[in-house]
Amino acid sequence: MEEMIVKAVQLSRVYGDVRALDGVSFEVARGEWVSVMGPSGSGKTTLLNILGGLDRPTSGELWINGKDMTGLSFKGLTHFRRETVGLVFQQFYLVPYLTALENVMLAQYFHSMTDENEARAALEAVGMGERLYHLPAQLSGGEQQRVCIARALINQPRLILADEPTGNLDEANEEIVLDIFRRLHAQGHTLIIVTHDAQVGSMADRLVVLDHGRVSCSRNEGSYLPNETSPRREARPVNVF
Amino acid sequence: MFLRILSGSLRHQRRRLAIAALAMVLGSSLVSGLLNLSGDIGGQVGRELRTYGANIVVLPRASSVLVGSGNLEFGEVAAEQTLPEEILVEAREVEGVMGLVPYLYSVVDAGGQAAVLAGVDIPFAREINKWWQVQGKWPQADNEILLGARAAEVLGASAGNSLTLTYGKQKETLKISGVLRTGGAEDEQIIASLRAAQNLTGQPGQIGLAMVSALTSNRSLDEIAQNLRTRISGRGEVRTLTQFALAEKTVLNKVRLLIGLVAGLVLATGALTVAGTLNIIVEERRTEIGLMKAMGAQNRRVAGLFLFEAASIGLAGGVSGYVLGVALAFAVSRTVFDATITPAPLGFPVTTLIALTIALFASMVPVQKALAVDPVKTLRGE
Repeated sequence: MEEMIVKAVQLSRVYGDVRALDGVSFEVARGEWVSVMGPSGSGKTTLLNILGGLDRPTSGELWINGKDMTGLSFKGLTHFRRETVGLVFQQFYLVPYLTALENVMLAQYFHSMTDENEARAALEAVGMGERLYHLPAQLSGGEQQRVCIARALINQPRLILADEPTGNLDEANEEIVLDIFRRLHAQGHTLIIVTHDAQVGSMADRLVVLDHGRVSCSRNEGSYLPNETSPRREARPVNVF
Repeated sequence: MFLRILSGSLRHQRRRLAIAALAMVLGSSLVSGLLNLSGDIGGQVGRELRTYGANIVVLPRASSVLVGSGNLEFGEVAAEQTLPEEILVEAREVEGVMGLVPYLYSVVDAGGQAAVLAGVDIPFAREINKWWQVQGKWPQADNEILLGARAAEVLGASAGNSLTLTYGKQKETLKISGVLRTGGAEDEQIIASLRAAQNLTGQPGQIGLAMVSALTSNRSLDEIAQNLRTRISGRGEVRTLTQFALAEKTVLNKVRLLIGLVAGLVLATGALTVAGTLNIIVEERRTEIGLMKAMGAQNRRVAGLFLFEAASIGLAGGVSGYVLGVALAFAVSRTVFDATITPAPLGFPVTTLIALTIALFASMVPVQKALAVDPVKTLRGE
């Protein structure tokens, strides 16, 4: 029996009158790559924020790595983010006055202790070994995203969450980043990636499609093509299961 | 890593932080300047005031002879008394005694007119009575005298003339080196060197009284007077000129109050500038703070970063301000009091500590603001 790292039961998130998530249930197995797709406003980022311990569900149950997330305090959530997840953002969010190496070490610093060699190795693993001492402003978008991925991986998180990781990248850089995700997946990392890009979605083991805060499709049936596909490429069928 | 983050952050925002640090430099320099002056200003003002006269007088012990006949008492007649000159050496060793001028007063005959001859230590008298105006020269030798302006009119003498003084059988002809104008009793007197007066009146090694100029910035006048009494142990009588001492104390207290008020206002302005700058910085770095929180940074780490940035501003402002303040104190001391100050030993730690405390205090609201940053909202660009 597969070990589930994420188990969500009837998750809801309400902001005022808006139901961003409305009874979402799904599971993610350890080592699985799940893409979350859906139109804008469908609740993808809200779901990712809740899975990342950045936000709390209004109702429902959420278990991550065997821990009941709904019962965690503010401190507990901070600890969870530090210990369990690695976040990759569309906007990269690198600290502008720190070098690539220091940006990776920043995550180490908040987690436990810094280890420059380890941070260097993480950057080398994403092909950034030659750009260790460059500031974010001196890096291309793809390079910044690779630093962001190295930073997300440095503390060996159980779960990697990425929000539109290729959304700001050109085709060449998108390919590089996706290749990194492929390798991570092959190494057994659990990935949950929110994306609009059908190609990115197609690379996942499983696709969770959200619509108006609900799961409209939880696996590839060969029929789903998102309304908002990447402007650069055609969506192709997803081969999962 | 913390130092890397801190130094990177300080470098990144150096212009904005420089403005806040500048405000702290200005505030701290004033505090440092005022502290140094305040530490020394008591002395400065005291010394300035001291130049206008003595505040303690040492007199021979009052002794009187009861005059009468049989059972009938006519009253008391004061016997002419003097003090041994050695008392001066001992009195000078008492802490707080700045200057000491011995006087020996006698009534002499000057060209057929009765006149008061004041024998003084000329160099000390000159030092302590800076407002005395001398037409001509100050006496350089024991055979030279200053003649009070009114006495000069009465005697029809002027600088350069000689004057013959007679005391009992003793007679001396002395040269008038200058005419003295003080607006006080000295205008009617003949000022000679103590030695000349002692020789003429036949009282070698004796003085009539000593005017003491005591500095009351560190201890009270009464305390100094008491120490003097103990020191000369009954050989003379020590009296304070209380009115003068009170006036001096009032001036000093007002100066200190003014110093405190100005320093308080300047520091408050500095604190507001630091708070304003840090507020803007927190606002500009919301995304960075949100990112740190998203990565699991504890509140104490986020707060620590901003507190250390504030502390850096305070420290830089405090240290630079201290140096600037010492220079300021030197300038003020030189131009206003015509003297040189010694930097107060506690000036540096106190100035730096005040700047540091104010910068940290000013950072409270911005730090609260930083801690309240919601990573979800900031990373979404809200």
